[in-house]
Amino acid sequence: MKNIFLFFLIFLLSILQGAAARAGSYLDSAHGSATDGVFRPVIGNSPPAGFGYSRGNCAHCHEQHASFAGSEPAPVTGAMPFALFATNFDSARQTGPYAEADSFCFYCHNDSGSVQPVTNNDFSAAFGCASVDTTSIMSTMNQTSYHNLNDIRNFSTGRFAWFKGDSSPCDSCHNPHLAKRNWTVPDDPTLSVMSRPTDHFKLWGTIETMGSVYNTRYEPPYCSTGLTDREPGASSDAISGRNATPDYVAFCTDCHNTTDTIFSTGLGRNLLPIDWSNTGDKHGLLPMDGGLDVKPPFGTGGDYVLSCLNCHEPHGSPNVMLIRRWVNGSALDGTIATYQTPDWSYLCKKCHLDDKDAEDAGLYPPAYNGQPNIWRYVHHVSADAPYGGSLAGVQCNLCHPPGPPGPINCDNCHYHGAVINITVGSSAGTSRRAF
Amino acid sequence: MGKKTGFIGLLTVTALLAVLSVPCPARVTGVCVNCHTMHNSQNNLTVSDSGSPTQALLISDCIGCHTGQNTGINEEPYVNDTNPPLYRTTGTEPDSNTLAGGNFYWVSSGLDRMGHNVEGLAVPDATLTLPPGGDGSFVGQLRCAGSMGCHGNPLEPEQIPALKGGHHYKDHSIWQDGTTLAKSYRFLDTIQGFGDRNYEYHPTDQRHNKYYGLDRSAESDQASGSISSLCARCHKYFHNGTDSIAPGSTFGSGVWIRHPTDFDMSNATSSTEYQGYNGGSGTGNPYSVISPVATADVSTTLNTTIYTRAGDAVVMCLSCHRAHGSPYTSSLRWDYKAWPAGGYNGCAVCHTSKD
Repeated sequence: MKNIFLFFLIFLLSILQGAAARAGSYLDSAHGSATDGVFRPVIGNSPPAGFGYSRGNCAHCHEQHASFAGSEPAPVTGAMPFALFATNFDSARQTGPYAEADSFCFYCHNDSGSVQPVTNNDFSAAFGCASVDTTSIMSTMNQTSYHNLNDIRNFSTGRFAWFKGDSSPCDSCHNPHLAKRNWTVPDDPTLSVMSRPTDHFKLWGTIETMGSVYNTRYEPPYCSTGLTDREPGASSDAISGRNATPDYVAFCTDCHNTTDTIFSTGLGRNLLPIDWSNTGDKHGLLPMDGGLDVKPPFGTGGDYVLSCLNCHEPHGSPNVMLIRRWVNGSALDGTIATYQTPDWSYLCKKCHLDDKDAEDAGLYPPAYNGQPNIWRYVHHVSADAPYGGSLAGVQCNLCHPPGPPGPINCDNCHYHGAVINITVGSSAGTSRRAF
Repeated sequence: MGKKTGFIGLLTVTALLAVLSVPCPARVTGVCVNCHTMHNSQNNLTVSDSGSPTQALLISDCIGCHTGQNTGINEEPYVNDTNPPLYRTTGTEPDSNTLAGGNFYWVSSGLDRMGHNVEGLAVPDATLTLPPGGDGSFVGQLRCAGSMGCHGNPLEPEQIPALKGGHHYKDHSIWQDGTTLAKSYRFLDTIQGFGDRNYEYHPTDQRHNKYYGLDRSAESDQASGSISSLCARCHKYFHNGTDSIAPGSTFGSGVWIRHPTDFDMSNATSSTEYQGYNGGSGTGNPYSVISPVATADVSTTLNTTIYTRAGDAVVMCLSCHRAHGSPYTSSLRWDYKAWPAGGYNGCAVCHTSKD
């Protein structure tokens, strides 16, 4: 009798467990929320202004027959792929700036969206403690650099089985039926907003965190200017910060890797491959060589692995290459407006020591009068400087422009995958991973 | 006439009166007087509902005979009630009393969007002058039968003549192959199917209508004989056409621009969520009477499971809608509009990840 009862109990539990596993997730998503979810006024408003559909209802985005009560509600576009109320993406829009009609998502994720304006800040503000700048995804993308939607579409088409020609490029990173409102509690990764393109039907980063994958090799940067809390969202300490940071490395390298070729319309060339493995970039898993001239919270002895979003915005940025405007607890000194420029210094110095920082740290003799955004110390003075030792008789214009040696474009040597052959100084004849 | 003869005559008249006084049962079995009156006169009173003689010597019309409250023992299906029917959440609950087609009660109460505005039951729709999705060829108010209706011969303008040869020859035990009106599912001319004898009064996965559907590969295929093809007679572009359901020639292989019907969802390429239909795993899933599917199988074996044989998971108009009416907008089977704040998400029976 006891065995029968036990069997019955196990059977019942297995059924209930199965039912739970089958349950969908839309109601848990940002769009499916009955309190915060999608709402197209012409569908959701009470009659006669609308049809009185509940917030979060499918009908706010999908028109099963492209007809409500005999006619199509605004915007009148005809029957559209996925039975959406408008086209997912206008592939004629090959570059920005974007307008609402270019992407279905922009009907809401737009400062003045005609359907349901949704406030979204850039990553720097939402997760990095920066002050608010742009207030929608569309406005964030309509900046100097942006994740080109048509390039994403071209890349994704035929590469991911679920991605159809009429899919939204936004869907390459987001599943609109799963994505949650991570920005509301930025240090809660279970509210992930993203899905890996190779695993579209699952949220990514809920348990796959930088902490769980890299442990202390991932040092979450400072968040606010007090330089005590950490990203994301002013996490209290490094442990909570790394455990609250989704594994963006795995996420981004689903596309940005060493095997896939990604063409950038904006750059007019293929993107550089990203190798974050232990044979790739030093900002990735490759152990450092020599020394490390860095600022807190990073230590000189650490073999760190950075998250892509430590430096890059996911959607768009006022800087080139989607470089964040706020890194490691403070804003960049200025805008990086062009690709080939010494202004990359604004980014590098957020974690590395420029001459002023080196002097302040007692590493660079005051006699040198270390200046901000000047990098003589790390290149010529530091113990592991690539161009250390005597450079007497060496032509400075091997690297520097004619005249008194001044700053040079950082990107001459520092870019993803860079390996520089050193021809002068004490390290001459060696090569150095320069990123 | 002697006393004996007079007594017999009185007895005969009394018996006849007793028979004729039975409320309109509209049964196709039993004595003729259940449905017919020879002279529309009994005891110097008219017999027909309207007071006037009715075609085919009937004592009532479609509405008269099919109005009432379903109890589970009535043989004639009541599709209209003068009192609020018990629909509950999905119209399938054990204490509901509507049938597969739902009920005209709500639309006849002035709620235009909750049923078909059939002449005699409801006034013309205040918003819709033409059937949504139609090609403009159907003009006028919908009737039960005939050229302006769903049931009977669509070439016959009059309703009762349109049903000629229907009720008297119906054999519920065979697959309705649509070859004659009597062999058409629910007298829907040329439509195939196998109807539940209780018209889905308290249906279960073991007892329900078996709807006929086709797994199309092109939207130009009108899927003759399918239950959805009937709807397409008026709501054409919601079912078939050119670039109406899927752009170009991508029906079934590309993306939908309208919700498909007459398509087997086991062939869906965009998602695997349909494998979880009604809590199943993709093989032998239990049939759902809340969000039913059609089948291409033409046997009288009931489709109690789906993903059991080819073409048995065909999406149809009736997967979501009630043909006659429901208490919900668009004559839907459940209160979709109020979901997710309230209501019910019957969509999730198929769209299993959207709950």
